[in-house]
Amino acid sequence: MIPDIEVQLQVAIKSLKDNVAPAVDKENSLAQEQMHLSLATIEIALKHLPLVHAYARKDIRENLATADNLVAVCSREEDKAILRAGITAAQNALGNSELGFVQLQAAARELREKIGIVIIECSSTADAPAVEKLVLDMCGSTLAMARAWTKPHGFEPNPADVVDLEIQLGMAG
Amino acid sequence: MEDYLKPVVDPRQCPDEAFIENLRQRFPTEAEVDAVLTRKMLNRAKRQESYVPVQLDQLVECTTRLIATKIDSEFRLEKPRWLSGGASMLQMAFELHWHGSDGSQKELVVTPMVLRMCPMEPVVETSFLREAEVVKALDKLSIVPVPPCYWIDEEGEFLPYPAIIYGFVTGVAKPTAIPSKQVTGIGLNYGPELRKKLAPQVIEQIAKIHTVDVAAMNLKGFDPVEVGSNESVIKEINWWQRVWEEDRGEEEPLMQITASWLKRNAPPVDHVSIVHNDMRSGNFLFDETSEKITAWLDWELVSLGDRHQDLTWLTAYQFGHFAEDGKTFLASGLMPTDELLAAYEKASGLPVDPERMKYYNIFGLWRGALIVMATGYRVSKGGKSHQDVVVSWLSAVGYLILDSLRAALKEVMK
Repeated sequence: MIPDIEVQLQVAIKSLKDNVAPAVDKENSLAQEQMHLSLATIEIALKHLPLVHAYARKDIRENLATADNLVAVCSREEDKAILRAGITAAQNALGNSELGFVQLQAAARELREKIGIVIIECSSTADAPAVEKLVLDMCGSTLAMARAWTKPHGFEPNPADVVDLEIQLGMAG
Repeated sequence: MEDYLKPVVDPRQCPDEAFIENLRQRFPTEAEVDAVLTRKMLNRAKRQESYVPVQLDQLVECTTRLIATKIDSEFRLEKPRWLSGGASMLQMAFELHWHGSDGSQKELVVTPMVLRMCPMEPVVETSFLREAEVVKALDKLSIVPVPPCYWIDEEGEFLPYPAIIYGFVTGVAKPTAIPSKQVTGIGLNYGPELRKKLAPQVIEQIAKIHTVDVAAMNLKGFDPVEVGSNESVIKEINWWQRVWEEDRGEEEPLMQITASWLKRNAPPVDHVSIVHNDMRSGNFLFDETSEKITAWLDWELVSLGDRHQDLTWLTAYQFGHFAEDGKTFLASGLMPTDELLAAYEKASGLPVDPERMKYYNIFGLWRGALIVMATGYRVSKGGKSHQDVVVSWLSAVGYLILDSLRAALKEVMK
């Protein structure tokens, strides 16, 4: 059997839409709101399912670029060592084709953690201005991805300004 | 084995004493805030289960037990009902039939009240002690309308979780009829006529809150704030940095560099004000007939400090909209920002410093992103509230805020 999570989510959405939502008490505003948001949440998850693996890989690549540049900016060996350990682990994760998205997410988080540690360690040293400027200059691409990921939630004042995730991930039509 | 191949152990979901103590030491903050955050983490460690819905009957029984410890005379609760609204608190309205707070009324009198109770973990963990202290003091001074604050169950001794009981105040937060469809933006739209009536009241009342003599109020739940020092600002940054470290699901480098920038650039306080910390349209009620403000609400984040913290929030983009002409931005749907700040200066006698406005704009964006991205994530992940799906949905706004933060930081870090 080849598991098909997309179909599982799709039938859940149809059932909720066709049969469950109409049966929810119209006077119960809490239930009405949560029914609507639950459905929308599952629909977004279904839309994102084919992208989640590529998203995690791109997040690792973007943070690898930040970590690489930070090594050049940090003057203390102990900070460089933390970053290099994170870089090696992240590169290994990217090079391992057997990893699923949960493991890739863990690898991305691990690298972000290392970058965070170095920012904190450097915050009271002479490296701080250069480290902070670098992080500020380089965080735009991961934020652009995150805004595209959350665009379906409807908070963007001008959604057209946010480049679609498929385009950012190189997976457009 | 690489760390990402090992089973994920999340120390924030099951914190031990060493984890909690480490954060207390790294981020020293006000004594009451420290107590509240420590209690949050100890409770999280104890309560590994998810939130189970509380029934109305259970709340009535627990509220009755709480009130019985506060008054000596006969009383009874009637007409309990759920109140909707708010992503954080559970709210129950009821009538209290009693002889008054001192028992002096001969006949039973009826007072409408509202119980506000935290879920197992709210999106902001705050002190009901501080909230009640400030609201009671403002009520006593009668300088701005606030709901009467009766009792608190600070640690959830009687109710399932911490709770506060207020008097029920009439009024609406937004007009019942949509005043105009010709405006754009996401902020609350009062319409051209009503905003002319509300704006002067809002400005005058905020000025009064910011200029009240804090020293004379003897507020025990707050560490003293010294004019000319930035110690209280650093403590507040530590408060929220600690929350970030307690709750986040992953590191976000921009949050760390912002915290460092905020600490390095913390301005000394030039005047000690009561700071509401969620001062904006939607957080006051007004009477639609008299067009008068009837109550300022949502005091849970109240602190002592710099008025600019409220002023940047009040004039923030997300709470305003464009007027009927399509080009005049109305802060909080009330007035153009420049006019609002000029009127505030006149009413309060205090200057509005553009540099402090920039600083607190960054602070507000940082804290806003932090609350939805860290605590919002943690509450949803643990299934800790009655509104997990709402909290999770709202956390999606975090990256929009974070990108605004990036732009604001670029301005000041040129």
